[in-house]
Amino acid sequence: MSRLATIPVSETGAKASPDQHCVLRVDDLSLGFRADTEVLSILDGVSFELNAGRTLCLVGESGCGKSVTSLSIMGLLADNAEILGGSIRLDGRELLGLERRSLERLRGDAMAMVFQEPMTSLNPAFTIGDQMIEAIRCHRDLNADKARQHAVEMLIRARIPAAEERLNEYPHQLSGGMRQRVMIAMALANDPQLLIADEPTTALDVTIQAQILELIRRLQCDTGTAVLMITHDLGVVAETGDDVAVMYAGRIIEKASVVELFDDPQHPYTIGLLSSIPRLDGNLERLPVIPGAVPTPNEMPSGCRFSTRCPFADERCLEQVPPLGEVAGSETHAVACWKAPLEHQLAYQEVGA
Amino acid sequence: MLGFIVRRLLIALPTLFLITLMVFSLQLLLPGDPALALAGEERDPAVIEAIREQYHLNDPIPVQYAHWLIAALHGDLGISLRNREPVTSLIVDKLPVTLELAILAMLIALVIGIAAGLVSAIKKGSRWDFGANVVALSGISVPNFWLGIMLILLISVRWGWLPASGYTSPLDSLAQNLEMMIMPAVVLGTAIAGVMMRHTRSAMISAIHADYVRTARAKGLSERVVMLKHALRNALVPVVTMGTLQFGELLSGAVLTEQVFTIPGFGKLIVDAVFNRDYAVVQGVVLFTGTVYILMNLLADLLYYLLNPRLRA
Repeated sequence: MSRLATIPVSETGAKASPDQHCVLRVDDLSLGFRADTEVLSILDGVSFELNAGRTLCLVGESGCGKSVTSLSIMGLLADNAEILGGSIRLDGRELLGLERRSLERLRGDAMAMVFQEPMTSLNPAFTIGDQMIEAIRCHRDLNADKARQHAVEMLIRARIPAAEERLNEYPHQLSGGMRQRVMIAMALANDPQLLIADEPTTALDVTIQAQILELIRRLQCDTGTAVLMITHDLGVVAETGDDVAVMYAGRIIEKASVVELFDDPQHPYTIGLLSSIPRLDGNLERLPVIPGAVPTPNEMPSGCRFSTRCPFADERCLEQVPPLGEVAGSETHAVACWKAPLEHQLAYQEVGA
Repeated sequence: MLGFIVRRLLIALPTLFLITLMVFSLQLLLPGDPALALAGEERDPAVIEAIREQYHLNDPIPVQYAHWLIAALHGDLGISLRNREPVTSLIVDKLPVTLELAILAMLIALVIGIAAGLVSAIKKGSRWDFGANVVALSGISVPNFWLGIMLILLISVRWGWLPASGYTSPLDSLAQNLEMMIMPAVVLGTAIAGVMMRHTRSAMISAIHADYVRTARAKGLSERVVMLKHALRNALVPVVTMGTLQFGELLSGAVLTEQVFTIPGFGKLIVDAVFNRDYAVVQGVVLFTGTVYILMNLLADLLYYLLNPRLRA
């Protein structure tokens, strides 16, 4: 109970001041999946850090490695995944190479995760109460009654009506939005330092999406948890993020504060992504698209991985990997592009045409 | 819940009706005059006519059926032609034997089948998995009578460890009873264990990859709890259902196995009755085991319902 009592509960709902305490530091993380004889590179030199009370959005399209990144932090990778190098530190403690028992002690306690599919992420055979109390008692020395009480408190904080009764219900008796609230309540039950939310709203309809994002933000304000938000939705980034890292084909290609990224995107891929958001004031017949498709892991170009689709690409882009370098005039904005800074403020399509 | 049971019972009724029709028509299809058979050496037409009257043999067939059905519903399944005993009491005599054999076989099947299925699903692709699959496949494909004979030859004849055949009531001597029952139970149990193992394995493999198992791991639960509580609980639903149906099959008498080990259960009762043309007994046993089978189906539905909270909504 001791840690729970220390949770700063903000009366005003104002954001707890982001101290400089670094909760998560991922350094040069590379990993691959074993397939037959070779190892296909999935992540290549992924680095980012996340401070307490902040939200970092990891954004990118399907298959860019954002979910794999989150699963490797939690130690939940599939058996055929192989860490090729790098480091993941949670509150200064190295997670890679940690033995299973130690990792289990951290999961659900210091770090917790909410998944994309609320419909299937809860066990259909057990009540909400069973599953929440189990999560609490796994890490805390509480008796069944106390744990139950705490579960009810968490459900109330997740704005679940009739929390007491919900404990006796099975997942199928709840809507998708309610189940995701339960997942969030369960993930935050042990007051984790890090909450990973892997596309938490993708499976929900739009009105529910906004409520869930608002809930995560509010609980974050109360607890000072660092949130790693995995999403492909730039709307979610704008709504929830403090910082953002854009991933493409297993690399981080641009990092910035959310304001910087939307104001002044540097990487051609980021620019392409932003211009493919439909605008209410535009009268475009068709949305701009980025031509081509993400290269498959076994035919990655040796240089910049976006070079096969980039309208600005030249020889060097195809052959040499661009480092993630600071954008002039900003300490928080970095981009991995030989062509940056791109001063061409042209619409993406005009350039591509 | 109650509505569910009532609905299932109502569905079972037509099946039960069909079984009674088939069992009843059995005696109509038989060659020869049952009155003559009953009369035995007696050839006096008056006696034969009296027998016809007594057994309603002069009535139209639907009336005969009604008489038979009403008697059956009152627990009167007729009299064995061979030893003049009521069929009902023959069945009641044999039931504990078959029941014990079925329970023992089922226990063996559950323990071996679920454990092997669990191991081979968790260690999929390993030597354990391969070994369990070979054993399961042999269990399914080796015929019971062959395995029974081999066990008798090896364990009873060559090594003399267990008696080859016979039966002692557990009320007389439990140790002796188990000595005699263990081999037939193993023979029946291993065959079902193979099926159980395959079912457990495939249900576990899909459960292991379910999202809720990932959630359970993300909570920090130990791998043992994740597997034995979260995955197995869901994987067991189809296994339990299948096990109940297999149990129904065991209760209807393991004809060959009981024959091989000369165990006086249903299997032996029905084989003896067929060979002796003791049709009343055949009818009675078929009706009884058919009913048991339907009840087991009902139980399987019920268990599925109880184990599956989604159905209880």
